[in-house]
Amino acid sequence: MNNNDKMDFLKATIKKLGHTNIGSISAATKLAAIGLDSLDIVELQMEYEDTFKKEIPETADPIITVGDILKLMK
Amino acid sequence: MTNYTHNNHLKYTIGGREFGYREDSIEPFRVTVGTVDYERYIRSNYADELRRIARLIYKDFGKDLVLFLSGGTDSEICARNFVDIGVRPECITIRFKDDYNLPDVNEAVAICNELGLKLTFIDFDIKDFFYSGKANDIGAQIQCTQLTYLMVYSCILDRGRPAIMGGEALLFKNISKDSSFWHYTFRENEDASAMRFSEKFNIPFVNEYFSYTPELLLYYLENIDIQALISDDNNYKLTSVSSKNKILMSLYPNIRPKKKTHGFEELLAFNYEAYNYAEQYQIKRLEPSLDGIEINHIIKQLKGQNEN
Repeated sequence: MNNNDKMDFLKATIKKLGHTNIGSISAATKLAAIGLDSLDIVELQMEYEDTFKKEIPETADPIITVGDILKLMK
Repeated sequence: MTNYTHNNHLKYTIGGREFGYREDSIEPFRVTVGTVDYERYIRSNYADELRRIARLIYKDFGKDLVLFLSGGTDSEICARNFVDIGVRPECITIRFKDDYNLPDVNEAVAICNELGLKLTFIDFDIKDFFYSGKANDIGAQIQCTQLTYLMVYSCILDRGRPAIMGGEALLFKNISKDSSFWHYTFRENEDASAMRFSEKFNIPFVNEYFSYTPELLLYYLENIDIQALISDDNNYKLTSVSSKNKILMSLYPNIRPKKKTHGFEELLAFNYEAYNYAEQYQIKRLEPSLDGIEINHIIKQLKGQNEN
């Protein structure tokens, strides 16, 4: 899975969560800026795990940007 | 069947029946735990595993979950783990009539204020709960005589929502005149009744957050402070409570040291009376098996080492 695939997956999932302001997101985009709250981020991680049968490792680091999520998707 | 622990790795049997009920006084009570995933165990740690458990529970229970916050350290850690992963559960604190547990209530308020969590109080008249017969009605259905547990079950029943409690992984030292040994406690009347409750009333309920995965248990049991506790034959300690608090406080320096209370300090005689009353209507356990697992055995089980 390359970065473009990951971004496509992210956009589709964010849309599924009810947020449509995703036209020009990049790795630097803040998740809060596109309307995602902490629960959405948890849902997003779980959707990734369920879809790709891969586990996102636990981290104590805050997840602020789209890039932070992409990094966790291995 | 709901997940009482992850993939129900923590099991008990009575007379060989898994998650069963007592049918006579001499059936043995047995407890077993699952085996760690070594790859995960090696690459992770206690703190991350605590957070993973919050996510696993959220995945199972969803947004409706409520956290019973006693005001003690264990439920505070649960709350912090959920907040760490981005989930803000509604917290419920049982507030006793006549302020028997006021210090704990105040702690719960302080925790929720700090973490920005919604806190709901359930005002509870524990004496009425017993004298009205409600406690015994629930207890008889799930073979539980412990009033504190029955109180929580009653509150969960009223809410009807998936619920979580702290559920300490308590180690206890058995002492006899010839020898002594530590064991991991899992009690038929209390901890096992939580599983029976969940199954009987079809409400997801986790009462074993700190035993939720084999990995978490092994991190805990292999922790340097726990190892020091259980390997020192000459210490005076009978439980792991202070060692556990030391471990948790090193992970979460913000938590305030608390006096261990349960709100029943002024109700001990009443509790004793209630216990004896309820016991008359249930099958007494007369066989001597351990309410838990001896420390060496649990470590072997967690490591997948054959005990035969």
